[in-house]
Amino acid sequence: MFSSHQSLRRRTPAQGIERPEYIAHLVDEYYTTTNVEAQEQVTANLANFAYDPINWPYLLQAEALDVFTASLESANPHLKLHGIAALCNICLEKSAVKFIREHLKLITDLFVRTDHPEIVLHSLTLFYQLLESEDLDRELLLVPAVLKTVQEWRQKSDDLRIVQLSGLQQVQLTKRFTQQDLEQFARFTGDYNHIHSQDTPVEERRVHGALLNAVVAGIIGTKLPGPGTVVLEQNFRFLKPCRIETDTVVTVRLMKSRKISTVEYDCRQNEEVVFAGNAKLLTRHQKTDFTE
Amino acid sequence: MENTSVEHHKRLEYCTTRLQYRQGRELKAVKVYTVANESQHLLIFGVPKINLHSNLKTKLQGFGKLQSCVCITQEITPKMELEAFTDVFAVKFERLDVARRAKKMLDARNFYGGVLHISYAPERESLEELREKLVQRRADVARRKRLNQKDEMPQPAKKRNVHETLY
Repeated sequence: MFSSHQSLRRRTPAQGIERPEYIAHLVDEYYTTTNVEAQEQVTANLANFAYDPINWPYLLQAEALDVFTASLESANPHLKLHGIAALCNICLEKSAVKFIREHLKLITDLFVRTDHPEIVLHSLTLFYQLLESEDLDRELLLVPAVLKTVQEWRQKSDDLRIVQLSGLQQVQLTKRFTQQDLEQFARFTGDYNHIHSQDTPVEERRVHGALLNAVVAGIIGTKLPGPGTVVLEQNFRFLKPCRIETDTVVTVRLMKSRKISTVEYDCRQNEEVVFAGNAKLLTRHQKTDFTE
Repeated sequence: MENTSVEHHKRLEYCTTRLQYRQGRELKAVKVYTVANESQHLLIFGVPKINLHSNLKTKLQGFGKLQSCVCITQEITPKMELEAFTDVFAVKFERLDVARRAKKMLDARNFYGGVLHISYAPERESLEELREKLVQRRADVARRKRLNQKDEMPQPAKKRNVHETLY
């Protein structure tokens, strides 16, 4: 699947074209040909070359990225598909990410409007990789139109590949608990246990365990899986005291996406897990045609 | 899997209209691949219906650790037109690179009189496997970039006095 410099040298016949030149030829042909099929063929070639990092410098040099965005803008569905697949392949390249960020609206517009499952597939994969790389602001990408479209495909698609990808999520948020939060919680629940109050010195004081669980529940009910979710069962452990005025990273991971889904979650402070657990959830509009 | 789309398993036509400079030695269809398309799961179409389950299994095990090999003809028949008198198998390898190799070596090849058609079946992945696959892609790319950088170190010049030692 990947080539090395050696294998490229070996495979190029004596009179043949070297890889960088070949890629430049393909780019040229895209702009100069009047034959639609030829455009489809060369964009597919370029998209597939984008899979192998050895070609990335050559693609960037030949300005293939512009070919990919031009393909996205065209009316031809094959070209759009090849364009998005190409970006999905090259999105692990630093300068490609920068380029993608500059053309994000074009990409998300295509995603929101398309009814072509393969385009959706590569778009979702592209988005997932961008989010994982953390080179891109979540808010820039996960605009309401995109999130809505993801949910729609998740619910209506027959294509399990898409359903799976749409569910492949992890939500993380950072919360800083204050003494005021603890006092409000105590007032609301009646849990005036002094371990949460100012009677205990701050370095020994701890956040209410139930409050940690409630924050997790908040994520489950609004982001992952989202509104309509009902918690059926939970297991959790308190591993270390959770301190106030400390950044607490709360992560919820979707582990199983069935009629009854499962999530795992944890809260970390200073890279240490203070609270961890899992839950079984009943999700709305869940397709039941999965085989175990 | 009642309503799974099987569109991506249909065999496309080979492209015969490529310009000379970009026509490779083998005919290939016009198709794009990303990490979304590949998988440790494969579907193998075209296996002649003559009790070849264990022969197929043995053949596949030659490529690497096989986790499962199941005949799914019944499941697929309502969704897709199959070649007469053939079975389709759902196969799962432990590793994606093994699946990749098996597909490359066996696709469009003869197997006991039938021609096999193999395609990746990412729809059969669990969420964990899907997540793993994407992590693996990232790791593979990083490793490849490192190897390429090392490889690119200037090569010794071809013309050298044979008596000179290089190292």
